[in-house]
Amino acid sequence: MTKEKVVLATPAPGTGLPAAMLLCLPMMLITLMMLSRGNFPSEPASMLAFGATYFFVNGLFLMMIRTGNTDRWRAILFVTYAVCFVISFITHLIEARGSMALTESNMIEGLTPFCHVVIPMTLIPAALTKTIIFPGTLLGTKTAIASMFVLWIGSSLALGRGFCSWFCFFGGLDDGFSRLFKTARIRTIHPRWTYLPFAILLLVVLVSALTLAPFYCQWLCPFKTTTEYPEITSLKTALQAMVFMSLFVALVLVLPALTRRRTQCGLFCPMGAFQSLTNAINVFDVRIDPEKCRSCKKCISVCPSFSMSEDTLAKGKSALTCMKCGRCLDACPEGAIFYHLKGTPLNPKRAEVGRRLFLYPAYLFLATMAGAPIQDAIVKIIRLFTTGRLI
Amino acid sequence: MNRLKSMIGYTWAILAVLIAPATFLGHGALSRTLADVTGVTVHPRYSGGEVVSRIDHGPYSTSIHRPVFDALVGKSKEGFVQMTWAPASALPEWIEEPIDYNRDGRVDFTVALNTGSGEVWLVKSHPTVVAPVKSYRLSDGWAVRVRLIRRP
Repeated sequence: MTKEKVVLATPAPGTGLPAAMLLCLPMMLITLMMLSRGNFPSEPASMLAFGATYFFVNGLFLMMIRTGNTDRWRAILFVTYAVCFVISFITHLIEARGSMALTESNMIEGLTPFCHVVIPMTLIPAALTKTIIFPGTLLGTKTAIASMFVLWIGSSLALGRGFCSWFCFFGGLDDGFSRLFKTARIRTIHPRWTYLPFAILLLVVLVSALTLAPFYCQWLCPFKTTTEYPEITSLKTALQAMVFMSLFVALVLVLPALTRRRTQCGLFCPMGAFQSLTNAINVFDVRIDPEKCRSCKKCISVCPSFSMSEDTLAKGKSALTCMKCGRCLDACPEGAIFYHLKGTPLNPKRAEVGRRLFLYPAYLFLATMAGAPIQDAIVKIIRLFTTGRLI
Repeated sequence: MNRLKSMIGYTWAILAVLIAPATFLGHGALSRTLADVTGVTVHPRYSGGEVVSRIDHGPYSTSIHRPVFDALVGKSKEGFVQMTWAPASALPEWIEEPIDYNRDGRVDFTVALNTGSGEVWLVKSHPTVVAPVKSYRLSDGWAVRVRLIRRP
């Protein structure tokens, strides 16, 4: 194997305010269009929510460009997005169905919102039977099956596994809890655990194909706790609810807090493992300049997805499981880690260009996905304060 | 070659910027195109299968879906047939209806449904009929699934 020689300049210094504003202008215009969807709200609470979301989203992007830090600002929006998604989703469910519980009648009527985590489980049955093994609807709503497939295809083409840090509406929960303490209580996790999501992916794909039912959704999804769960009518559904809650507490709350890692995303999620495969064909990757790297191993200790190791440092690039969150870029004291476009030369002057070329599509996905739930959550919180009712 | 690779890299990166808004703005049309091109549908185990006959009772109607034995490959030994009654507002308190699910001109079972409580009774007239699975209160009616076994 030949090592590519890289010579990088010192870490990207911040960009001056006028230049940063200029670089943010396209984002400001596109997010104006995406967040409003061509229809500006007229009701005061909605107007306030729209304005607050717009300035929040663009303010963070401005800071990203101005300071040269990526993850620090991304995480604020990503975590806010996840929290607001939960508020918005649950209140919508209760408004529409009166409960977070999903009945068998709801399933028969195709009223189950489709989530991207189901995608890998549907592929074999779709190929063999031309059907989707999910009790949802194919078209017509934002959470319809075809809609989620389109969003997934678009974001995977643009970001690869960056999907998990710039798109997924669940990822922000364990990302948030992984930042709860300043130091990790559990520091060492054996690398063999990083194979677990791939094993789970294989298991759920095969079992789902054989049973023609999305096995992960039925038995293993921790996020059922924060979205919807099968109505508890039997021992089986009670057991399912217990499994969902236990996994949520362990993988999304406790382990991220103790390890400072995204344990659900990095050690369990089959969709995350599946997305790793899209990294192989995506144009953006994260590279390490072996000449600047002093092997301080800070990147290894901060990487939330276990994608940095001594092995990857030696190879000069992050592992296939990299979520492109940018935490290692921010943490590296030498500025030796950078976003890179596959096929392009490892030019020191191009490191910031590579970062910006990645940030535009990645942030557009995040801002657009986050916009609607944040606005909706703000409206509902305003309603709570003014009328005393969230629903 | 390096130059070509580099050009492809930059082109893809710029395309990625365009893909982001295009994914959201063209979302409805792209979803319909994807569904049309692939021709996929929701698995009949969940949707109940296509409606193959409809019996009009005046104020309400009965829809009989096709028997579902769909497996990953071929057919499974066990399946079900779904009947749906709608609209909810016009349904009598008690529905009793003979069903010919395989459309051979003979009644295969008679199903009775209490639309108040959702209780189901079944009188079997065909050996492939096993038992009622369950009744389901829908947003505009009721559905009942009856378990079947497939004869070779």
